Order: sequence, then C-alpha cells, then structure tokens
Amino acid sequence: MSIATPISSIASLPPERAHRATNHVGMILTLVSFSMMFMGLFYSYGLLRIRAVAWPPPGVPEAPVLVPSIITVLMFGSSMALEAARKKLAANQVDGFRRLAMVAIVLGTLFIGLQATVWVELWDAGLTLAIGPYASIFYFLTIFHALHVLAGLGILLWMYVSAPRACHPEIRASKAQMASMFWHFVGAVWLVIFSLVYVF
Amino acid sequence: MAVPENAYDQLQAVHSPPTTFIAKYIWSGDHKVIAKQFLWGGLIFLLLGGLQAMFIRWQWAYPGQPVPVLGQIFFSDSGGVITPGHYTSLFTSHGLIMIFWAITPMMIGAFGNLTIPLMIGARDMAFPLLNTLSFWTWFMSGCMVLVSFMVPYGTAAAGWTTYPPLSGNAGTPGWGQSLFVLAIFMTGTATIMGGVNYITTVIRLRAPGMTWDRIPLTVWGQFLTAILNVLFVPVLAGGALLLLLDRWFGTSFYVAGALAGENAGDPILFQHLFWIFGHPEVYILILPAWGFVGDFVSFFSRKPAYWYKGSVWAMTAVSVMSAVVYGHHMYSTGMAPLLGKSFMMLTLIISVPAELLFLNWLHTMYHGSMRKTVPMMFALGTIFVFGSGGLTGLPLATITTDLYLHATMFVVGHFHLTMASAAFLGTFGAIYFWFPKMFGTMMDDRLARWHFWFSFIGLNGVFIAQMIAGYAGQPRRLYDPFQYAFTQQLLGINQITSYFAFFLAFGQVFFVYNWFHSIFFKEKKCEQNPWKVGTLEWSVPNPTPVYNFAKIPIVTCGPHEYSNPVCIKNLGKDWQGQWETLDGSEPQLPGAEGHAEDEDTDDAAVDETKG
Repeated sequence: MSIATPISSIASLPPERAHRATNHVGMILTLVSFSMMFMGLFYSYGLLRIRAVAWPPPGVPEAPVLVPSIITVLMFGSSMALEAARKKLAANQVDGFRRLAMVAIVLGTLFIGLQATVWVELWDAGLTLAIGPYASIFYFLTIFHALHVLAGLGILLWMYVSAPRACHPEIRASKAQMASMFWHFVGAVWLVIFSLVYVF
Repeated sequence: MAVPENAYDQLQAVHSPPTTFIAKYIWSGDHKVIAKQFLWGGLIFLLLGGLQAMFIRWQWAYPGQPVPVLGQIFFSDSGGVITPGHYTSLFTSHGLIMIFWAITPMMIGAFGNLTIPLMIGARDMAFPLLNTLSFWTWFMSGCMVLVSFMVPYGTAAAGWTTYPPLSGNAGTPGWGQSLFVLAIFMTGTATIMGGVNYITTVIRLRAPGMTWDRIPLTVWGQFLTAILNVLFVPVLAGGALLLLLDRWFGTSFYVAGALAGENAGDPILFQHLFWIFGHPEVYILILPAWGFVGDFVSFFSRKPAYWYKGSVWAMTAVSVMSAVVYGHHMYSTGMAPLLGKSFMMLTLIISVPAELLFLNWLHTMYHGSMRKTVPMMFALGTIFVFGSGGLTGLPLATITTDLYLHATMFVVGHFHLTMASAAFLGTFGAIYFWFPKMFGTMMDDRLARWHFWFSFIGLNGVFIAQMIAGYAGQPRRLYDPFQYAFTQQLLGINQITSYFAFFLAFGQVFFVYNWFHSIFFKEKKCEQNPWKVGTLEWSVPNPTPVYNFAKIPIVTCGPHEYSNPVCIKNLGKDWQGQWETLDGSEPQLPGAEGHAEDEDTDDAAVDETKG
C-alpha cells in the first residue's frame, strides 16, 4: 500500500493494514533523517578532500580494494536473502523465512568481521589518527557505518524472533518490512562510503 | 467504495485512562500530558535563560561591578562580580538554552503535541511511545546541561554557535563544553523523533473530511517545522559528532593551524554544517508562531483567513527556501563572490513569501470585527516584532552592508527580534489561548494584559536599542564593550537598553503569578469553548478524555468559518465548528453519498435557506 492512498479509502482497509501503512510513512521519514545526517558527513568528506594538499597524503598505507569489494557483495547478498525471506513470510512459510533471514544475519556479521580486519591491517601499517583528516574521516565513516550495521543486525534478530509470532499477517509483514527497510538503507549507505573511501 | 459507518473509529484505539501516578504524569503516552511536560520544562529553562540575559545586561550597563543580591548566589567565588570566564559561559549557554531548551520545547514540543492530534481529529499521535521517548530524551539532555554548570572549568563557553577552534580542547578544556555538545546531539535526536511523529500523524490520522486545505494554519506551521527538523537537525547532529570526536578521540576534522601540524582539517567545515542546520532552524523557531498568528487574526477578527491557500503556499515556500540561504551567515569567511551573491539573492527573495503572509494577515483584519483578546494582542505583537526583525534582516542579507554590520550588536538585535521576540510573543499568545484547553481554567485577563505590555515594550526597547548601538559600531559578545575609544560614548545607550531588559524581566512576574494561580488555585472552571472558535479541539469537553474523541468527528468545513450570514441565520452564532453543518444535520462521511466534494453540500445548504 502506498502512502499516496487517499485518506477516504483508508477506512475501507482492515486496521492492521492501515497501521502498516502508518509505520511505513514513519520509517520513510526516519530514513530520510538518517540520510540527511550521512549527507552532512559525505559533505564533510568532500570538503576536507578538496581542501587537502594531497589525498591521500604521501606515504600513508594504501587502502585495500579487494576485501571491501567482497563485503560489498556480501551486503548485497544479505539484502537479497532478506527480500526472499519476506516472500516466504508472506507465503506463511515460517521455516523458509527463518532460514533465509539467518542467511542475511550471517552475511551481515561477516561484513563487520571482514571490515574489522581492514581496520586492524591499516592501523598496523601506520594509518593512525596522527595522519590527520584523511585517517580521521576514513575511520569515522567506516566505523560509524559499522555501528549502523550492528544496529541493523539487532533489528534483524528482533524480526527473526518476533515476526513469525505475530498474530496477524499484516503485523508480520509490517515487522519484516520495517526491518528490511533499515537493512537496505544501511546497504545503500555502504555503497556510497565504499565508492568514496575505497574506490575513488 | 462504501465506507462502513464506524470504519474510522476502528482505526485508532480508544485508550482507557491510566490509573497509576507514573502512567498518568511521568511515563505517559498521552500527547496532552507530554505537551504539559514540555511546557513546564521549557518554562523552567526560559527562566534560567532569562536570568542569564539579565546578568549579561548588568555587565554591559555596569561593567565589572558586583551584581546586587543574585551575584552573591551565582558568582560567590568572585564576590558577586561577573568575571570574563563567567561572562563567556553566560552568553554561550544563554543562547543555547533559549533555543534548544526553552523555545523549541515550548513552541514545538508543547504546542505541536497539544494541537496536532486535537486539531486534525485524531485520538493521539501516530507513535505514542516515540512521543514519550522524545520527551525523556529531551529531559535527559536538559539534565546534562544543568550538570555542565557544575563540572571543573565550567559550562560551554565557545559562543552559542560552538565554532572550532574555540570549541575544541584548546579553546574550552574540560567536560562542560563536551557535555553541552552531547546535550545538543541528544536534544536533536528528541526533536527528530518528535518531527517524525508529527509528520506521520498529519499525513495519516486526519479525520474524514479534514483535507489539506482545511487544516488549521497552526497545524500547517507545526507540520512544516517538523519537516525542517527531520531534514536539517541530523546535519547538526553529524557536525556535533565530529566535534565530539575531535575533543575525545584526537581526530582532526576541525583542527587547523598550529594545533594540527602539517595535515590540517578545516574549522570552516563546522560552520557549513552548523549553518546548513542553523538557517532552517531560525524558520523552525518562527513557522509555528506564523501558524498561531494566522489562526488568531482570523479567530479574533471574526473573519475567514484571507487567502488561506496563499498563506499555506507562502509558508511552504519559506520552508523550501530556508534550505538554500545558509551562506549569508558566512559572508566573511572568504566565500567565492559569485556564491556570496547567489546566497544574497536567495535570501532577499525569501522576503517575498514572508511579505505575502503579512499582507494576508493585514487583509484578514481589514474590516474585521476585531476582538482585542489577550491571544490577539500577542499575535499583533508578534506581527510587529517579526516585521521589524524581518526588515532589519535585509541590510544583513546584503553583502555590502553586512560586511560592516557583521558581528556587531546590530546582528544581535535583529535575530533577537525574529527568533526571540516573535517566538516569545507567539508562544505566550498560544499559552493564553490554549490554557483553558490544557488546564480547564482561564488565565486572568488583566494580569495577562500587563504581561503583554511589559513584554512588548521591553522586547522592543532592548532589541531596537541594541541595533542602534550595533549600527554605531559596538561589537557583539565583548566582556567590556567600552574598552575602545570609539565605543566609550555607547555606555549611555547600553544602560538604557539594560533598564528596558529589567523592565521586561519584571513584567514576567505577572505571568508567573497568573500561571500558578490559574493552575492551582482557581476554582472557577471555564466553559468548553471560551473563544467561540470552530477548530476541533473545542468540540471536546474539559478535561479532555485520554482518547480525545469518543467518536472520530466528520469534518465539514475549513477552520476559519466566521460571520457567514447563512450560519448566523441557521445556527444563531457567528462561527461554524468544523464538526457542524450549516443546516444542522448530521455530517456525512465524504464519499458516502456518491459525491465527495464538500462544496456540493455547502451549496445545498445555501439553496435551502434561500428556499
């Protein structure tokens, strides 16, 4: 159900369906708000980068591309698995839902684990905060995003446990929809960070 | 599609009243209780911020002399004298407290919460739990502000704009500044939670027939404010986060110059992030007041609001444009001339929709049957101070004059007329107007008028005099503004300004007495609809039940139906409630009889009376 549904036709829907649409609106607004924060941070990245004499500064260890590319694929796979899980839930196949949702959660955990290896490797190679804004914004963007992934994992776990237990199909669908919206959002933000920090 | 008779009632639950003290007054999900919580909290911080303003004014009138009586309490370590350290903390926390802990919670937290569900015919906010969390997050941030006054090195002292390097570890060491920045981050989170809730509620929970062009202007103001909050507060939150990392973890986002070594960050970055938020913020603090004023001039002129849709479009246009003018705060940062000129043009253009709003208000009052009630006086006061504040914004928007006026008292006077005075008068007008709805009694009329005149004369006196001093060259924020030869002759006007400020402060005694007396000691309950207006909140009894509307009302007309001859003839009164029809029949669900358009039913009513 889209948010453009005229108010007069809302009343002809079951209340659970209407609540789901209300949650949908609230979630969109929340994600818009999150996006604006990330926009501010990307803006900061851009400003620091164009004002820098050299980017990256000479002599700093080069950021890897292979592992970040792999985890980008993992993140994409996780989102796909989550969408498949939602289809299963809609078809009332709880076991299939749980299996696919677990795949999404495991891929998300792998994402954080592999990301952590990149941090450790770069820090050991000498990319410390003393390097200046280059290191500051690199660690900040990636770690801050990882914290959002952690929050997203928490939300997915909540969905894994509570969505199949809900009594009404619309409430189930609503829970899965809200969780997956946040998860896809975190994935989309990662694409931007990946291109800014690792690729270009 | 046929709509079942009770379909709308099934969509929103009818909550049973809470029974325990905690559920009723502390952890309440009821938007009316949360509104009162925000109002009490905001008033306490307003008192604190106002007291700080008086100390600042004392210092400017009698530099270096001990503050009488209160000095012994607040500045006992220096014998009642305001030291430069005290002084920087005072003007910093005065600004931040007034914006984030006084005006925002009162104007948006309290009146957004109170008016939105009641005026659009909903039983509560869309997400009541989020609403509760929003208040308690704000409350915790307020506690952090209070704690920051007690830590070593004192509270924030980098100016309300919190620019680095002053707000970095080198400029303001200690926990006070960090706590304050963290508190800004937290109150920002609370604001966003509230904003998401307000927007969702207005989009989803309007009563049947409450179309977008029948929403009271108050709700429009709150709705647009909420949109700006959801979009731009996160940018400030991001900027504050980077600042905290600089302070705590040794990152170098804003660190430059000798502090940074060869790989410097950029302090100007903070200014960008701050003003991307900061300029929409000044409209965040005025849009709700515009909404109140738009409604009040119609209510108390007993006339429909002139060109309602024009006012809505003007407010929307201002909201949109507020996002693209922030550069005018940064003309002196070495911005590219072309960029500066673009910001100047956009800033000047914003006065066009603002002008349109003014014309609509004046036109609403023109030939109206004016009732000079207290809320109407405050609305007129708001129009006056916002007008003078808006006009004095033009020389600040223009680069050539701004380069002279930048960082003088002229700027201070200008933004206090708009953000402070207009927001203050608008909010107090709203308090006097909705007080009977919130507490079931009327506030004393005579005391309220004394409060108005003291506030109105005081506010204008202070801020117009500040602009004169600024035009004469007095820089802002100086501990002793008279240390230079060219400012020494300004001591006189500064003393006059301070007398106006003390006059203003004295006037607030009328409000404080009136407030406590009307809430706790007034026996006489007022009638359900004391102002004789037609918006939905007056259709429900006092005290308003938890669920507001036992049956969701069906809305038949716009919010400003006054002095309609048909209404006077048929209903015997000069106002039509949004829940009433002109022929006295039961309102029908839109679309129930095959024609959704309300104009048809209005025409039918007119025809009937003719026949």
